[in-house]
Amino acid sequence: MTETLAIPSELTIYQAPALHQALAAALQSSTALQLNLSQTSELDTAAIQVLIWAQREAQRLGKPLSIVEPNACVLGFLSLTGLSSALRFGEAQS
Amino acid sequence: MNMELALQTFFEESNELLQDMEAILLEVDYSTITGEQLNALFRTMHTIKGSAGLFGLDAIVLFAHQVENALDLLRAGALSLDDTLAGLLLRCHDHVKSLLEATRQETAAPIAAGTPLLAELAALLPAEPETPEASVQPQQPTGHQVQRWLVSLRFGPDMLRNGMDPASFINYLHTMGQVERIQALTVNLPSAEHFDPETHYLRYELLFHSDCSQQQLCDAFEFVQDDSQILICLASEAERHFATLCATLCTAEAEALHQVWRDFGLFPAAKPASVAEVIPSISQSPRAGRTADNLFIKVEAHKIDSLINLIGELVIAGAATNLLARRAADPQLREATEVMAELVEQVRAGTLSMRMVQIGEVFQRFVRATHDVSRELHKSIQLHISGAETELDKAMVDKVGDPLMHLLRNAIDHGIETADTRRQAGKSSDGHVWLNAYHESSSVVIEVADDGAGLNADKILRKALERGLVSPAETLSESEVFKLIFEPGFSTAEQITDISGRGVGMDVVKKNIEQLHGSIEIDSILDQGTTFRIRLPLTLAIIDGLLVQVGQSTFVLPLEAVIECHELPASQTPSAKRDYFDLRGEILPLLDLAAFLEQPASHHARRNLVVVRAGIDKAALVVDALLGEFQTVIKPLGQLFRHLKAVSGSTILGSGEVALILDIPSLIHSACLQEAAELYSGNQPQYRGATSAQMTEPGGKNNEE
Repeated sequence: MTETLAIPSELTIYQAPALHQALAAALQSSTALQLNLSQTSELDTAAIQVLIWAQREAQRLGKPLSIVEPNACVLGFLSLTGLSSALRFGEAQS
Repeated sequence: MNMELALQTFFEESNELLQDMEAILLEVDYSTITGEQLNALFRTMHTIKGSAGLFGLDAIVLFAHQVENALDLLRAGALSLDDTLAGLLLRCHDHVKSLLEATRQETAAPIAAGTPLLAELAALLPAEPETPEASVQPQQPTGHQVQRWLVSLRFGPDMLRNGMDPASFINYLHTMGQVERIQALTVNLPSAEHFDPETHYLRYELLFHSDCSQQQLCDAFEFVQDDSQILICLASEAERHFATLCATLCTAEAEALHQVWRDFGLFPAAKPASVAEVIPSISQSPRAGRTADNLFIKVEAHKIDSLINLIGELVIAGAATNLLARRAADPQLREATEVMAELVEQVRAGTLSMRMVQIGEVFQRFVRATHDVSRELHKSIQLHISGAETELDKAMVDKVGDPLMHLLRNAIDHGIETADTRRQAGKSSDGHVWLNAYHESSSVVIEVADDGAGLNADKILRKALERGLVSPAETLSESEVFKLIFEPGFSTAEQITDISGRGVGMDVVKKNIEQLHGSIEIDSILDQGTTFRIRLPLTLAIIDGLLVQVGQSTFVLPLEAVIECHELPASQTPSAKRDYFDLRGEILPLLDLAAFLEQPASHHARRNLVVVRAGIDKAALVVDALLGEFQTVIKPLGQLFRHLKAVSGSTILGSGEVALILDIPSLIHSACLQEAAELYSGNQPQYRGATSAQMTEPGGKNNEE
């Protein structure tokens, strides 16, 4: 079953280490993972790097990880920094 | 990653830039200023503006922007630098500094103070289009033509940790022009456990349209230049730079980069990258001239302080080990400890040298002060600085600034006469002030000299008599008279100005210098000038000492003050009466430490003499035994012992005993006083300006025999 990981609304370097740990642990324990970015209000490069890393790790480990419902804040940041193609977004499942 | 830390760096950088700006404005000859200097001037404000923008400090950005515009015109030749403009720019510099300071202190920024400055700047700016020179600048680098740039950014790995985000820089670029394409490269992102969430791994490639010059674009990244790899070039020339750029990259990154550039259409002829011309592009960075900066690491002061503290403990522990080894009479152990001691000594010297900074940093402030003060007083002053590279303990450099500033202001205000007076006295109408620093044995000497009126000994003496500082019966040597100006509340200024002469100051100067364990001397020749000479120890933390025994106690004499040691001649047992010592014909006052320090009489058959010096004064101290050299970590004495005149600190010996460090200048002073007291009690009124030899030769010998 797909586990939805709680993502804080602020995603910055202050949260990045915790997010990194949480994702690393979740990738080990769950079979499938879903990250919902609809509530994100603040984002920075450090957090984006963690998300990119998580997506690559999931692929490497063969575990489905989908990042869903990016809001305008997330999409705006990705397009500003030229990272639009670096993250793939999936369809939300409940 | 700490914002505070990043702000701190910003303040430091900005202050350095402001210093640069000030230095340029004050140093250059307006008629011969070079394009390079004008560029540097422009860059200072530009960088401050850019960095302030990153932190959202709008007040600074707004103001700096106007100054930058003026500097840009200056650089373009549309304005020329003269006294008025330099003055205005200096005031702008001050305003930016106060804005920065207010931000640092988190107080309300004095924005209103900038309004008149902005008005003055604005008065300069619109004149530009009409100025004919502005249009005839064929080779202006700031061509106001929109060009297509390639911006390739590989920020350093610590960027995020330092509180900066690439997004801010990209946002900033958006204010300078239009971003056509942007592509981030993620190939460097490591997998699995090699990933560190606080390290920056990305690379950004941008195609960018802007009317800014390459210089201006580079300046936007000046803040992160040092640890980043940044290439900014015209898109049409990008191809030439590819090989150089790739030389420093791993294959994966180079391939990804090639892909992005191809997408950007930067390789028109589908030419393989490997044959691209090799053009040094990164070295064209605007701060190439400042590469020396990269040789320095900024370290927090308290880290060095705690290291020095530890070294101090190490020195003490080392001394204890040495002592034990000597007692154990094991030659191998002794040898080993000696090697250790040697290494400890080197570590100590190395660590202390880390605290050493060049005194030029302080001197630089005086250039500006001289400029301001001489203007205010309508005197033309030339400041000559030498020995700016002399090194001194950082703590001392910080503390010596105020007293020096005071002496300098005094020299300009009271020392240098008005131009008319100077001409009448047959001097050049420009006053000269010299700041000079140099090493002498293990102390640093700083001189503030002027070619002004000199000190008037008669006038000082009269004033001192009026104020009851000396009694009419006293006879004083010239140098003693000069020293009176250090008495609290003493001022000979006839005219009290804003700059100095409020009757406070010289005593504070003396107190400040004494707090640094330094001394101050005055040389003055009437109508020719005055020299104040400050002598400071190199460091406050550790000294080399000579361990001596007096009675049952051990004392430390700072080795730098010791000239030589002698056995006390049997014929010269110190009498209770006048004491002197004949050192190869030179007569020195003799002070019996046992008596002076009220130690019980010793039973040593042979006693020793230590000849010491403080400044130009010398004295011979009688001690019971010499125990050898000792590296001494100075521990300050508690409040309780503050009134102790002849003791400057304490230290702990290898054996765990406490030894007091004697203060040589006050010992010599005491020796002289004692001698003087005896002279006066002996009813021998003499002018003590005469050398002590003349004074003691006839009477002294007879007394002994």
